[in-house]
Amino acid sequence: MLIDDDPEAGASRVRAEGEGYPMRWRSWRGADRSAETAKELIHGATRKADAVIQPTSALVMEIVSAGWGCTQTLKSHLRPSKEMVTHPELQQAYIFFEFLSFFIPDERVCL
Amino acid sequence: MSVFAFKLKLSPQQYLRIKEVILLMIVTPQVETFFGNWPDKTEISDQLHKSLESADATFGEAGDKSWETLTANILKFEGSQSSDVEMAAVRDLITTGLGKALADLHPDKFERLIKTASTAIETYERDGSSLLELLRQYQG
Repeated sequence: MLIDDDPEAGASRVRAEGEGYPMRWRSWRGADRSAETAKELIHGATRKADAVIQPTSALVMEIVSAGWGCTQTLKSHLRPSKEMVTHPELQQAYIFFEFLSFFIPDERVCL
Repeated sequence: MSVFAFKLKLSPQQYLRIKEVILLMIVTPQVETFFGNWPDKTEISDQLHKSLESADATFGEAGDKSWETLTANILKFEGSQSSDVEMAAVRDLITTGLGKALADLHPDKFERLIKTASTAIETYERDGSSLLELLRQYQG
Protein backbone atom coordinates (compact mmCIF):
# COMPACT_ATOMS: atom_id res chain seq x y z
CA MET A 1 0.00 0.00 0.00
CA LEU A 2 1.30 3.43 -0.95
CA ILE A 3 0.35 6.73 0.59
CA ASP A 4 0.07 9.48 -2.00
CA ASP A 5 0.21 12.94 -0.49
CA ASP A 6 -1.91 15.43 -2.34
CA PRO A 7 -1.06 18.93 -1.18
CA GLU A 8 -3.54 20.47 -3.64
CA ALA A 9 -6.43 18.58 -2.12
CA GLY A 10 -4.92 18.89 1.36
CA ALA A 11 -5.29 15.19 1.96
CA SER A 12 -3.59 11.90 1.51
CA ARG A 13 -5.09 9.03 -0.39
CA VAL A 14 -4.26 5.41 -0.74
CA ARG A 15 -2.85 4.54 -4.13
CA ALA A 16 -3.12 0.96 -5.27
CA GLU A 17 -0.05 -1.00 -6.27
CA GLY A 18 0.82 -0.25 -9.92
CA GLU A 19 -1.71 2.54 -10.22
CA GLY A 20 0.80 5.24 -11.06
CA TYR A 21 0.42 8.92 -10.47
CA PRO A 22 -2.75 10.64 -11.66
CA MET A 23 -2.32 13.74 -13.84
CA ARG A 24 -3.40 16.86 -12.04
CA TRP A 25 -4.68 20.04 -13.67
CA ARG A 26 -1.21 21.52 -13.49
CA SER A 27 0.26 18.64 -15.49
CA TRP A 28 -2.46 18.92 -18.10
CA ARG A 29 -1.89 22.62 -18.36
CA GLY A 30 1.85 21.97 -18.60
CA ALA A 31 1.31 19.35 -21.30
CA ASP A 32 -0.78 21.77 -23.34
CA ARG A 33 1.77 24.47 -22.88
CA SER A 34 4.55 22.15 -24.12
CA ALA A 35 2.54 21.33 -27.22
CA GLU A 36 1.86 25.02 -27.79
CA THR A 37 5.51 25.87 -27.23
CA ALA A 38 6.56 23.18 -29.71
CA LYS A 39 4.08 24.54 -32.25
CA GLU A 40 5.34 28.07 -31.71
CA LEU A 41 8.94 26.91 -32.06
CA ILE A 42 8.19 25.04 -35.28
CA HIS A 43 6.21 28.00 -36.61
CA GLY A 44 9.03 30.39 -35.69
CA ALA A 45 11.70 28.18 -37.25
CA THR A 46 9.63 27.77 -40.43
CA ARG A 47 9.09 31.53 -40.65
CA LYS A 48 12.79 32.14 -40.08
CA ALA A 49 13.78 29.58 -42.73
CA ASP A 50 11.25 31.01 -45.20
CA ALA A 51 12.62 34.49 -44.59
CA VAL A 52 16.06 33.42 -45.80
CA ILE A 53 15.13 30.77 -48.38
CA GLN A 54 12.76 33.07 -50.29
CA PRO A 55 15.32 35.80 -51.17
CA THR A 56 18.20 33.38 -51.77
CA SER A 57 15.96 31.24 -54.01
CA ALA A 58 14.91 34.36 -55.93
CA LEU A 59 18.58 35.15 -56.65
CA VAL A 60 19.40 31.56 -57.61
CA MET A 61 16.32 31.44 -59.83
CA GLU A 62 17.49 34.51 -61.75
CA ILE A 63 20.95 33.01 -62.29
CA VAL A 64 19.57 29.64 -63.43
CA SER A 65 16.94 31.27 -65.67
CA ALA A 66 19.55 33.49 -67.33
CA GLY A 67 21.86 30.50 -67.95
CA TRP A 68 19.03 28.33 -69.19
CA GLY A 69 17.70 31.04 -71.51
CA CYS A 70 21.13 31.41 -73.13
CA THR A 71 21.47 27.62 -73.49
CA GLN A 72 18.06 27.37 -75.15
CA THR A 73 19.04 30.08 -77.64
CA LEU A 74 21.94 27.89 -78.78
CA LYS A 75 20.34 24.47 -78.46
CA SER A 76 18.93 23.98 -81.95
CA HIS A 77 22.11 25.29 -83.60
CA LEU A 78 24.60 23.01 -81.89
CA ARG A 79 26.27 20.20 -83.78
CA PRO A 80 26.68 16.99 -81.80
CA SER A 81 30.12 16.79 -80.26
CA LYS A 82 32.17 13.70 -81.13
CA GLU A 83 33.61 13.62 -77.62
CA MET A 84 30.11 13.26 -76.18
CA VAL A 85 28.71 10.81 -78.68
CA THR A 86 27.71 8.28 -75.98
CA HIS A 87 26.03 10.95 -73.85
CA PRO A 88 24.85 13.75 -76.18
CA GLU A 89 22.90 15.36 -73.35
CA LEU A 90 26.25 16.26 -71.79
CA GLN A 91 26.86 18.90 -74.44
CA GLN A 92 23.80 20.87 -73.39
CA ALA A 93 24.55 20.31 -69.69
CA TYR A 94 28.16 21.53 -69.99
CA ILE A 95 27.13 24.59 -72.00
CA PHE A 96 24.45 25.37 -69.43
CA PHE A 97 26.99 25.00 -66.61
CA GLU A 98 29.34 27.33 -68.48
CA PHE A 99 26.61 29.96 -68.64
CA LEU A 100 25.85 29.41 -64.97
CA SER A 101 29.52 30.12 -64.14
CA PHE A 102 29.23 33.33 -66.08
CA PHE A 103 26.20 34.49 -64.12
CA ILE A 104 27.55 33.65 -60.66
CA PRO A 105 28.37 36.96 -58.93
CA ASP A 106 32.12 37.49 -58.88
CA GLU A 107 34.21 39.11 -56.18
CA ARG A 108 33.71 42.58 -57.64
CA VAL A 109 30.52 42.75 -55.56
CA CYS A 110 32.71 43.34 -52.54
CA LEU A 111 35.08 45.88 -54.04
CA MET B 1 29.27 38.12 -63.34
CA SER B 2 31.77 40.67 -64.42
CA VAL B 3 29.87 42.46 -67.17
CA PHE B 4 28.05 44.47 -64.50
CA ALA B 5 29.87 47.21 -62.65
CA PHE B 6 28.64 46.40 -59.17
CA LYS B 7 28.12 49.18 -56.71
CA LEU B 8 27.62 46.74 -53.84
CA LYS B 9 30.18 46.69 -51.12
CA LEU B 10 29.82 43.33 -49.47
CA SER B 11 32.56 42.28 -47.11
CA PRO B 12 34.69 39.37 -48.36
CA GLN B 13 32.99 37.17 -45.74
CA GLN B 14 29.52 38.20 -46.91
CA TYR B 15 30.55 37.54 -50.50
CA LEU B 16 31.99 34.10 -49.76
CA ARG B 17 28.93 33.18 -47.69
CA ILE B 18 26.42 34.17 -50.37
CA LYS B 19 28.50 32.50 -53.06
CA GLU B 20 28.62 29.21 -51.15
CA VAL B 21 24.86 29.38 -50.54
CA ILE B 22 24.27 29.97 -54.27
CA LEU B 23 26.52 27.04 -55.18
CA LEU B 24 24.77 24.70 -52.75
CA MET B 25 21.38 25.74 -54.08
CA ILE B 26 22.46 25.25 -57.69
CA VAL B 27 24.69 22.17 -57.79
CA THR B 28 22.54 19.36 -56.39
CA PRO B 29 19.29 20.27 -58.20
CA GLN B 30 21.07 20.77 -61.54
CA VAL B 31 23.06 17.55 -61.28
CA GLU B 32 19.80 15.76 -60.40
CA THR B 33 18.15 17.32 -63.45
CA PHE B 34 20.81 16.34 -65.96
CA PHE B 35 22.33 13.24 -64.39
CA GLY B 36 19.39 11.94 -62.36
CA ASN B 37 19.83 8.31 -63.40
CA TRP B 38 23.61 8.16 -63.16
CA PRO B 39 24.69 5.68 -60.51
CA ASP B 40 27.30 7.93 -58.92
CA LYS B 41 26.75 11.67 -59.08
CA THR B 42 29.38 12.63 -56.53
CA GLU B 43 32.13 13.24 -59.08
CA ILE B 44 29.99 15.34 -61.41
CA SER B 45 28.66 17.32 -58.42
CA ASP B 46 32.21 17.99 -57.23
CA GLN B 47 33.27 19.02 -60.75
CA LEU B 48 30.36 21.41 -61.15
CA HIS B 49 30.93 22.84 -57.68
CA LYS B 50 34.62 23.45 -58.45
CA SER B 51 33.82 24.91 -61.85
CA LEU B 52 31.28 27.37 -60.40
CA GLU B 53 33.53 28.15 -57.47
CA SER B 54 36.38 29.09 -59.80
CA ALA B 55 34.12 31.27 -61.96
CA ASP B 56 35.89 34.24 -60.40
CA ALA B 57 39.19 33.10 -61.82
CA THR B 58 37.63 32.39 -65.21
CA PHE B 59 35.38 35.38 -65.70
CA GLY B 60 36.04 37.83 -62.88
CA GLU B 61 39.67 38.23 -63.78
CA ALA B 62 38.86 38.37 -67.48
CA GLY B 63 37.09 41.68 -66.76
CA ASP B 64 35.84 43.29 -69.96
CA LYS B 65 36.95 40.24 -71.91
CA SER B 66 34.74 37.87 -69.91
CA TRP B 67 32.26 37.76 -72.78
CA GLU B 68 34.98 36.52 -75.16
CA THR B 69 36.18 34.00 -72.60
CA LEU B 70 32.66 32.63 -72.26
CA THR B 71 32.24 32.41 -76.03
CA ALA B 72 35.56 30.57 -76.41
CA ASN B 73 34.64 28.13 -73.61
CA ILE B 74 31.26 27.36 -75.16
CA LEU B 75 32.68 26.89 -78.64
CA LYS B 76 34.88 24.13 -77.19
CA PHE B 77 31.70 22.11 -76.64
CA GLU B 78 30.46 22.72 -80.17
CA GLY B 79 30.97 19.77 -82.53
CA SER B 80 34.50 19.90 -83.90
CA GLN B 81 33.20 19.16 -87.44
CA SER B 82 31.34 22.46 -87.53
CA SER B 83 32.34 24.81 -90.31
CA ASP B 84 33.64 28.30 -89.73
CA VAL B 85 30.27 29.66 -90.84
CA GLU B 86 28.45 27.51 -88.29
CA MET B 87 30.90 28.53 -85.58
CA ALA B 88 30.30 32.19 -86.47
CA ALA B 89 26.53 31.59 -86.25
CA VAL B 90 26.93 30.02 -82.80
CA ARG B 91 29.11 32.94 -81.76
CA ASP B 92 26.38 35.37 -82.86
CA LEU B 93 23.77 33.36 -80.98
CA ILE B 94 25.81 33.49 -77.80
CA THR B 95 25.90 37.26 -78.16
CA THR B 96 22.15 37.36 -78.83
CA GLY B 97 21.35 35.05 -75.90
CA LEU B 98 23.58 36.95 -73.52
CA GLY B 99 22.21 40.29 -74.67
CA LYS B 100 18.66 39.15 -73.95
CA ALA B 101 19.59 37.56 -70.61
CA LEU B 102 21.44 40.67 -69.47
CA ALA B 103 18.55 42.88 -70.51
CA ASP B 104 16.20 40.73 -68.41
CA LEU B 105 18.67 40.56 -65.56
CA HIS B 106 19.16 44.27 -65.19
CA PRO B 107 22.22 45.31 -63.09
CA ASP B 108 20.05 47.17 -60.54
CA LYS B 109 17.74 44.19 -60.20
CA PHE B 110 20.65 41.79 -59.84
CA GLU B 111 22.33 43.97 -57.24
CA ARG B 112 19.10 44.28 -55.31
CA LEU B 113 18.66 40.50 -55.32
CA ILE B 114 22.22 39.97 -54.07
CA LYS B 115 21.85 42.59 -51.37
CA THR B 116 18.49 41.25 -50.16
CA ALA B 117 19.78 37.67 -50.09
CA SER B 118 22.94 38.73 -48.24
CA THR B 119 20.93 40.66 -45.63
CA ALA B 120 18.56 37.69 -45.20
CA ILE B 121 21.51 35.32 -44.65
CA GLU B 122 23.01 37.67 -42.07
CA THR B 123 19.70 37.99 -40.24
CA TYR B 124 19.24 34.23 -40.27
CA GLU B 125 22.71 33.57 -38.88
CA ARG B 126 22.62 36.32 -36.26
CA ASP B 127 21.70 33.84 -33.51
CA GLY B 128 24.41 31.37 -34.51
CA SER B 129 22.29 29.38 -36.98
CA SER B 130 24.05 28.25 -40.15
CA LEU B 131 22.23 28.43 -43.47
CA LEU B 132 24.90 26.28 -45.11
CA GLU B 133 24.29 23.63 -42.46
CA LEU B 134 20.54 23.82 -43.04
CA LEU B 135 20.99 23.42 -46.80
CA ARG B 136 23.44 20.54 -46.40
CA GLN B 137 21.07 18.74 -44.03
CA TYR B 138 18.19 19.29 -46.43
CA GLN B 139 20.19 17.96 -49.38
CA GLY B 140 21.92 15.15 -47.51
